[in-house]
Amino acid sequence: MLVRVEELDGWKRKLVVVLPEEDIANKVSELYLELSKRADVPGFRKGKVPRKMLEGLHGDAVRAEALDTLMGEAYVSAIRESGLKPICDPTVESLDTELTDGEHTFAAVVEVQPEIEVSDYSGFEFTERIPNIADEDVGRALDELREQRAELVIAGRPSGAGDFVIIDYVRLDDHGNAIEESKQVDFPYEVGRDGVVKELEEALTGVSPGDEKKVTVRYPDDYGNEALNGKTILFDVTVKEIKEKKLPVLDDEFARTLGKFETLLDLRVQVRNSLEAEAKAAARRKLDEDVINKLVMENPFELPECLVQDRLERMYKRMTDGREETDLPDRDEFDRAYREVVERQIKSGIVLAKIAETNGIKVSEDDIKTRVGLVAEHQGREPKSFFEDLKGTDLLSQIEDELWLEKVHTVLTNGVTIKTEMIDLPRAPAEGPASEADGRG
Amino acid sequence: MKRDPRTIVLEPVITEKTARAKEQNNTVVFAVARDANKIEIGKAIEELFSVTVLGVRTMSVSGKLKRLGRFEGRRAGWKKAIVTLKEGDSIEFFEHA
Repeated sequence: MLVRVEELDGWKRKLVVVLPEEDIANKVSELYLELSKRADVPGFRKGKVPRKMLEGLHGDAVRAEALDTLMGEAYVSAIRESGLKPICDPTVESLDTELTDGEHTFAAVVEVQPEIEVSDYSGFEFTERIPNIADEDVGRALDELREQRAELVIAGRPSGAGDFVIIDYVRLDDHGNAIEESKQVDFPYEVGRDGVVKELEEALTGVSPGDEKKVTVRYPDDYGNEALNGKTILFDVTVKEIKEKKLPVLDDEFARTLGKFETLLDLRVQVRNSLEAEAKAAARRKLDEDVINKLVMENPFELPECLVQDRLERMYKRMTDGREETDLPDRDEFDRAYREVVERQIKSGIVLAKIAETNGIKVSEDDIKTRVGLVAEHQGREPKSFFEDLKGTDLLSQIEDELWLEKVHTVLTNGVTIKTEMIDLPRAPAEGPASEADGRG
Repeated sequence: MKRDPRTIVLEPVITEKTARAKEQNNTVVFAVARDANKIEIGKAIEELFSVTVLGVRTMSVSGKLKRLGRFEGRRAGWKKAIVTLKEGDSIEFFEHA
């Protein structure tokens, strides 16, 4: 029976609950009845031990168990009665410490879901910065496409940076004998790419097919392979072929190989459009983030500690999943490092939920179906069967979450003032002619 | 010389039967020294448990015959005393809550 609810600091609530003696006595009798069936006392058959005797033997334990069970039940009904929304397990404390007869009072301290008010945000102003897509951005994207479509052709000249040298190699032991198991045939080595092993890099620059070389490689201490770190190993390398990358020429023909494009111009337009769409989406994401950050800042509130702890715990578990025991990061350090991030995440979640609540935002079945239909179309699937496949998987709830978030953000962005600005992205130096000009000036 | 009552009254006999006897007749059952007589037993109980004894009935319980393979043996026999207490008096063994 709930007596009173006290508000402690933060979101802690203390429920004071009294168990009437009658309830306790009933529970105790019930427990004795059960106990007598299994109690094994010398001189008595099972179930024939007098109650008084059991009381003498197990009285304290039975009463403690009765209280334990009753407190659990009473806590649940007390929570229902009080209308609180607890978000974690309670800390229960008995106020009558003696195990005496008579009513029993206990207090349960829980942290509840924060009830927050989101202040009026209609006056807020935000700027959405959408980067301009310059011709050189389109050019770079096209270059990447060409790079992906590059063909390897026999160079017919000594190798240089950017070439693939096709080699057979075998590792030699200390006496100069080949170790058969280490033999590799037709291994393509790209010269001047990562260059982690600089001896190999040097040895394979300027070689021609048919060349044979003995290369001593001293692996760096931090090479990343236990067996090789800091080791010096001799390889016998045979060059078979030098191949160079041949990039396709940027013309209508190239455009046609990429699919539904007639001319190079079509391709350019398409690339530009998708780059612009990407930039826009990124700008929108940034804006959404700005808005929610601002809202969290403008509506400060305390977080229940257990919520933070719980999230940290889950994050830690996820990050350390499958790792060796010895490889685990220090938990305290982890908590310190991620506490702020986690707090911000939870806070924005609560603020968004509040806004969703005040605006009556809900994701309906139809919304989900529409979205699933879009995805299905994108993947070339039959929407109905696709939906059936998704049922009961995480994906469906993910889609629901996504839709919900989109809706909340739409309400938010409609509720505030947004200025849109087109900006020029700062160019990375030494890339493209524009930055070269800057460098000189 | 008076015997230490503890060497006379050895241990209580707690079984379903004695428990029922306690409820119905207000008697307590003990295992006692084999050479103790009813008078000694009564006095020892009065002294040990601060109760008034109305009567003592005794009997010798013979040990059970036990065998292990071809070896036969007998458990020790003992003396049982059924002690009737004055109404209102009682001796509690495990019942003290």
